[in-house]
Amino acid sequence: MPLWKKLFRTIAEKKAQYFSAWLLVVISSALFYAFTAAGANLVDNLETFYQENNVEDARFFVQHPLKSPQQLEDRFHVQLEKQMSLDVSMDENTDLRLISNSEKINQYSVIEGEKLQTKDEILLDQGFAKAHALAVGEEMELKGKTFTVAGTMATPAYIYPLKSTSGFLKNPDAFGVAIVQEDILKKWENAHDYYTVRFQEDNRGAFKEAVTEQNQILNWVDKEDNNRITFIKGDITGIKKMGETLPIGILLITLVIISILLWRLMKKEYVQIGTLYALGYKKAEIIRHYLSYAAILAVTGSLAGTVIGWLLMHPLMASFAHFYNLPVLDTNPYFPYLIVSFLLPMVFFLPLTYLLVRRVLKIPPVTLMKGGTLKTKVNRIERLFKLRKLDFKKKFITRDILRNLPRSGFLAIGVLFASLLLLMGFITKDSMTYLVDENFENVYHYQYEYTFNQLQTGEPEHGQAAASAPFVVQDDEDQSLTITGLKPGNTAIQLESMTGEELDFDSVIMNKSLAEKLEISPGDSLEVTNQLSGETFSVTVDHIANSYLGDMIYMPLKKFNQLNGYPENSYTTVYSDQKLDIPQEKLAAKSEISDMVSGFEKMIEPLNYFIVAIALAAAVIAIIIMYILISLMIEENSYKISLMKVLGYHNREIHKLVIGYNRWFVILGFLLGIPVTFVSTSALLNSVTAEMNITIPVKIDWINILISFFVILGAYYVTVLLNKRQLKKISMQEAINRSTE
Amino acid sequence: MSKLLEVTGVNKSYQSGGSPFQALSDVHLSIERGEIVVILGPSGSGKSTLLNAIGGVDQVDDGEIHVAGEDITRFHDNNLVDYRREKVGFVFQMYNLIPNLTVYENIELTSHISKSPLDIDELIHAVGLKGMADRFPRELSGGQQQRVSIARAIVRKPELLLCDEPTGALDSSTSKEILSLIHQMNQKYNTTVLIITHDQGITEMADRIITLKDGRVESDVKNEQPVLPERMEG
Ligand SMILES: Nc1ncnc2c1ncn2[C@@H]1O[C@H](COP(=O)(O)OP(=O)(O)OP(=O)(O)O)[C@@H](O)[C@H]1O
Ligand SMILES: [Mg+2]
Repeated sequence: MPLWKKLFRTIAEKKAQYFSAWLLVVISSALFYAFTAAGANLVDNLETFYQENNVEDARFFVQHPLKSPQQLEDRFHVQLEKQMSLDVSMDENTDLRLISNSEKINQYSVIEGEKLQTKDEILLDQGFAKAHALAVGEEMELKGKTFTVAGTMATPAYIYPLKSTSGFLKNPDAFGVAIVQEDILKKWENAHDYYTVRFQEDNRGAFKEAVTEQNQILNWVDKEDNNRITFIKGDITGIKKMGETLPIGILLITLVIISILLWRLMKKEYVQIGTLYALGYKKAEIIRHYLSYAAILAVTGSLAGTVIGWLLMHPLMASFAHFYNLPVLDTNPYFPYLIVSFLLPMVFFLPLTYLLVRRVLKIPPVTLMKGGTLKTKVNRIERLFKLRKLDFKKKFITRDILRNLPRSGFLAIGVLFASLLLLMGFITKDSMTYLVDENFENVYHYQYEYTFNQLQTGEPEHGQAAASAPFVVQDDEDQSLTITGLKPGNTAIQLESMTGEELDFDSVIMNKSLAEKLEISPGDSLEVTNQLSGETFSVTVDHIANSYLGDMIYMPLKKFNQLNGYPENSYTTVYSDQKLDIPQEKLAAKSEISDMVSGFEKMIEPLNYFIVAIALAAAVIAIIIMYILISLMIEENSYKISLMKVLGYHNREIHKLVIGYNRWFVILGFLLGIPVTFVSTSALLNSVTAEMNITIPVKIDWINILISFFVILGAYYVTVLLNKRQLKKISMQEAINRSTE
Repeated sequence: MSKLLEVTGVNKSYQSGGSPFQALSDVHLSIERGEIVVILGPSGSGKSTLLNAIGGVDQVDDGEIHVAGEDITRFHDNNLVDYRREKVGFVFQMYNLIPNLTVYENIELTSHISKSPLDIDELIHAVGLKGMADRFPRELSGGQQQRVSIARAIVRKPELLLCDEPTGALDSSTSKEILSLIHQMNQKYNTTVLIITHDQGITEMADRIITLKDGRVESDVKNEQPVLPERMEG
């Protein structure tokens, strides 16, 4: 059918414009499918991993070993398992945590190599093995004993291998997890016992009470508060959010671009449309013809995009599995997402283009045959401008802007979108950096933290005494927090109020992230329950501290002991500037600030690649959008450009007058992008951190704003370069042979 | 009188659908400064092709076109632009104004890029558009639009005013007014004028009449007694 030929010929004539629009469809489909399907696959894999490997519901340790674990299991229908762990230092800066080969809870999966067979074998976490170049079959020495690396493994208890359950920075250079047979740890005296538990019923409180009856729980961490287990969920949420929002944005922009392309096409073809009518073509056939332009772009674009998305999903998931310690992942095509990815562009494009075509076809055929009411009207605003006094260039540009306002405005929106993408990358990084600087440099003024496995009394030999315990909010059992008791003269932790004054520890201080979540201001009280002892009491908050890491309350140590019913003068934690010589068996945990800092640097390293990738993607999207819009502007102004050539204008002069002012719209789009990015990034980060116990404040460094600005401006100049040829190609014949304007 | 334009041995062919088509073949002509020359000829005889080549908006295959001593066929793009900007003024059949610029601004479009343009207000007055400076083209009649287009061409005092059927879309009385305006401009600024037309009547005002046929100069006749346009018949 000849209409088909016409369709392909038109597309071939305007291939740059159609190709750019097509590319946007491809990008959005690819992103949609890769991110949503990867997210869904990760959720599935994670659930399977939790299920099959029996992830713990909570872990705790007690003052004395449990006397009758079997009885507790029967009574509360729980699975309970005693496990052992021991941190072995490989060198000055590296600790490897050996954990016993569990039978019921937190079973490991082998990633590479074989399961543990003998006492001389060891299984390492993937990241640690890689960081220390330990291959399967190699030998390593720990505490004088030689082990053979049997393989690498993943365990649900250490999906994100953090030293502490409340940490948030992994660092495979400094810390790793390994599994050995329990007998090895039993032989080594200072190994530390803890229990993991899986519940079947909602009887956590009763279970804890029963344990507390004859014993004392020193530490209890629910799965939900264990960053090793839950951090990954925030990232998956982030990935899915990206997959759901980003492509929609691109599609909306593409929709507008395609509408403009079609609108122009039909305007040019008024006569042909009228003629087709006269030849006896039906309205439906003509509508079908013009819809085909959008449909072809949508179908081929989403097809290519979905295929690319499928290919992209695998490296995306692999890098996820690598960053977190997950076993080899199954990938499902996820048909619902596959279908949505394929159909979404159609769903977006067809209704609007249909309305557009219908509108044109409402014009009577006779009018169409005459070329429609093609005459360009001078609008009221244009008439208002009596610009006689103005310099010609300014006048000319003002008139052009007034005429092309919808195009230029849309250009600004396109740039806004690209800027949003670009700035989001930077904001994410800067916010993380801020978070860490804020806490490590301004809050923590100690090098080492030692946590004892029993209450200590008296004065520590070195360092500053403190105590802390996990709590939940009485009215909201899901909101956990840590209360730390500090001596009033404490210098290891320093906090500032929101207005920047230093806070003393003779009062009750809540940090900003918790205050935001609970909507608490100074003077408010809340009831909290100690998760170890079950004790409930009320605290009144005196100050809010400008700190975002963890959900924390600080109070005087004396008050802490009093409220919790602990002996006066007792403590569980020591902060110190130097390394202290405390026997391993007395310690429940120790951590080092420098580990965390280098961990942070390790952690944000991939973020840098991510930002470069995002910047490139943003620049490409910006270039495509700007290219197509400027190309359209040149096309729409081709008569004027042609005439100016005849009148003796040089191409660069024409460019300055007809196109150059778009630079200001690019800048406008970028500037508008800044506040929009702030609002949307804080929404994104909030949804990401909803399941983590941190709040990330939204910050950006002005240098990065500047860099983003130059990326966008650079993209604009690339576009200008690309469009130069088009302007050059406009022939003077167009103005000379034009019979009507 | 000195020679302004000298066309020698110009050939131009178009490649249309396989076989080349000779639009101009071996065209020779020479025009004095200040002359008004009318170019006649049937449709398709090559008039516009010749005028466009002279105006530097189209290339020829071979031959030379000397304008004020320089061979414009040897010019590169940039020189051609400067040539059009400094020496040439165009007037088209359909006026070719920019619709969203006012009368004043349409004229400014060329004055803006010329070294010593005429005063626009005076010129608007001179072409008979007093009080219409702030109107847009759509608010003017065809004749008035053609006046704007003439003013636009004249404002930079071109040596050559090239008019391709300037009255083709106008009724006969308006046509006369326009031709009379062109004549005035020719007198006032000593502009050399080339007018393409189908209208035999216009030849009366010409100093010389050149007739083209099938891309060749068929005749080149001097009119010893040109008549003022307002007195022309027809
Ligand atoms: N771009 C082109 N491609 C092919 N052929 C062309 C082109 N431009 C003109 N011609 C041919 O060259 C010949 C001369 O054209 P030209 O426009 O110079 O004629 P003209 O004398 O101005 O005619 P008219 O009085 O109708 O304007 C015509 O036969 C035309 O078909
Ligand atoms: Mg012609």
